Amino acid sequence: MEKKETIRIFFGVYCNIKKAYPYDILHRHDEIEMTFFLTDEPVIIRFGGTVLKIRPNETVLFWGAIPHQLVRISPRNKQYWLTIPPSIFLRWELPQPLSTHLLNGKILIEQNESMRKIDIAYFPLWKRDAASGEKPILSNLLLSFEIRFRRFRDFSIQPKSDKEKRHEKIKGDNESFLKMYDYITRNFKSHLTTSSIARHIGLNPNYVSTLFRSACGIRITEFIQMLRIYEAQRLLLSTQLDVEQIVTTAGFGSRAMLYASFHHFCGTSPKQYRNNLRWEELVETPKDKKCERLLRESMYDQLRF
Amino acid sequence: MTSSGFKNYHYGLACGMNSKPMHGEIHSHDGMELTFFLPGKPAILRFSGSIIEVEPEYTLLFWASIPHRIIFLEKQTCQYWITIPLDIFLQWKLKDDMVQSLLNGNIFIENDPELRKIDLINFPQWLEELHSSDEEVKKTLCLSLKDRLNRFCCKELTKESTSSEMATNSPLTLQDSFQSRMYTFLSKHYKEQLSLRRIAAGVGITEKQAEIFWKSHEHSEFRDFVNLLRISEALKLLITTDLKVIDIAMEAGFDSMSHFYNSFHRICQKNPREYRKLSKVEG
Repeated sequence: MEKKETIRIFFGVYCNIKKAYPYDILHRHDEIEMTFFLTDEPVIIRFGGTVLKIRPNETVLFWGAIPHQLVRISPRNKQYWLTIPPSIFLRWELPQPLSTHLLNGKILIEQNESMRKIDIAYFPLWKRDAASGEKPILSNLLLSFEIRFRRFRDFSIQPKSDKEKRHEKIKGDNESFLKMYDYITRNFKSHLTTSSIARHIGLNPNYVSTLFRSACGIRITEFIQMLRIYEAQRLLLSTQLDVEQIVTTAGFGSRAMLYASFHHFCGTSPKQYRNNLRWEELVETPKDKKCERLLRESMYDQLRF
Repeated sequence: MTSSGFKNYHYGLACGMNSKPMHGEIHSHDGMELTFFLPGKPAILRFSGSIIEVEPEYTLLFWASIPHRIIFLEKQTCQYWITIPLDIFLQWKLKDDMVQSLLNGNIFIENDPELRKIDLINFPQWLEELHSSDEEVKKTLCLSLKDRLNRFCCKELTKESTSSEMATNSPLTLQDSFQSRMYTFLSKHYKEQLSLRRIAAGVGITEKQAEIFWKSHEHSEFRDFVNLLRISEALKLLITTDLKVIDIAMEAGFDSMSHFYNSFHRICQKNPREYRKLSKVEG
């Protein structure tokens, strides 16, 4: 199989409205994401080990560091979504427990008719703001997003507990794939290889690879890395564990592997990631230095409130 | 002096949707006000000496220390309003030219269907948040109003769109034109020593007519209105200049400091120095 570089996805402060397609690949990004779909039937999304059915009247809020994938969606749809880097998000000091839930990988689901109306009115404006690239406009967009997140009050939490992962049955999903997917998401913290997975579910390793790739669009090893990186990010932000402990807890074989993966996916080292978010410095990604700088300045403007 | 006539209203950070707006009388209050009137014929508002017709699609923003009142409003028309205390407003650091212009007593008008659509959806949400006892929810309201004013597409009201006289097709009667002359005269000459006789001469009526006008129309005295104008001017000078309080009182037309302090306290519930300090924004 040819080696392909995983695309590192970076959104920053972003907002868009557009049609979503069901051949989405399994992906991750650092930002917190809020999304909903105007469509005629529920949308099915994988979030790490959880598969959720999102109804048209539901709005989902989650940390994009969880590998996620749109699995099924009606062709008649419009997706509304916005993203915000955790560095900005954390500084808002939103009423608890919203941020704790999010950083711990919970998927928050809101059903609120009046918020939906407000969203539909605001999104076109926000989309324009996000595309403007002008500092005062971006600064105000951050304010708008903060208000929206503060208004995200009545939500239910998925999965309810770590043990009970919710799995929506997806028509057409191959039994072997489900078994494999479930096995990976439950065991990614231990040593896993394609052959050990294949052995566990009683299939040929080549077949396992192809099967996974055709369903998720990425290689198994990438997926395992994503799950571990997410776990590492979560532990960095929500616990005091040191990097050594995180290496083992998140399932990395060695410190070097953690560093390499972390750099690959997050563009920085674990320590820096933690410090950046704790010490109110933004992660500078090579792609968007300018934008980030603008945002940092505007955030400070905001802090004065 | 009994001053039943001109009241001052303290709203703080507030908003409302009133189908029967209560202010038939001319009044002023602290802070900025954003307001629009829906649906129906244009509402007619007086701002000290001028009259403004507010089309249903217009949103007004002004410093409410300018004495103002609704002169005409159709029965089914609803007033939507937001008031923001001046100190909060100044902390928000909105576009500087707009802030300065508002503080100088200019009235801003916005005509943006998209923002209007959002306002109509937001108002019920804001009211809900206003009545919440949760501090975090109140803070959200405050941020949301800041967002709203940040998005205000400012257009300073041009002189042509205000008038001191009613248009001929206006639903108001001739008597109002006489009333307009009265207000216009006072808003031009409030810094001077005024007597009923001077006003009557300026407006072109007899002293008796002038007296009856104030008694029957405003249930009050012209001095109360003049006081509102002087305090409004004093507030402006306190915020926009570094003049000493005594100079401001004189500049605004007060003839004694005790009179100034009394009126100021009655209207602002603070003394001038406190008021100025409150509104000073750091950095």
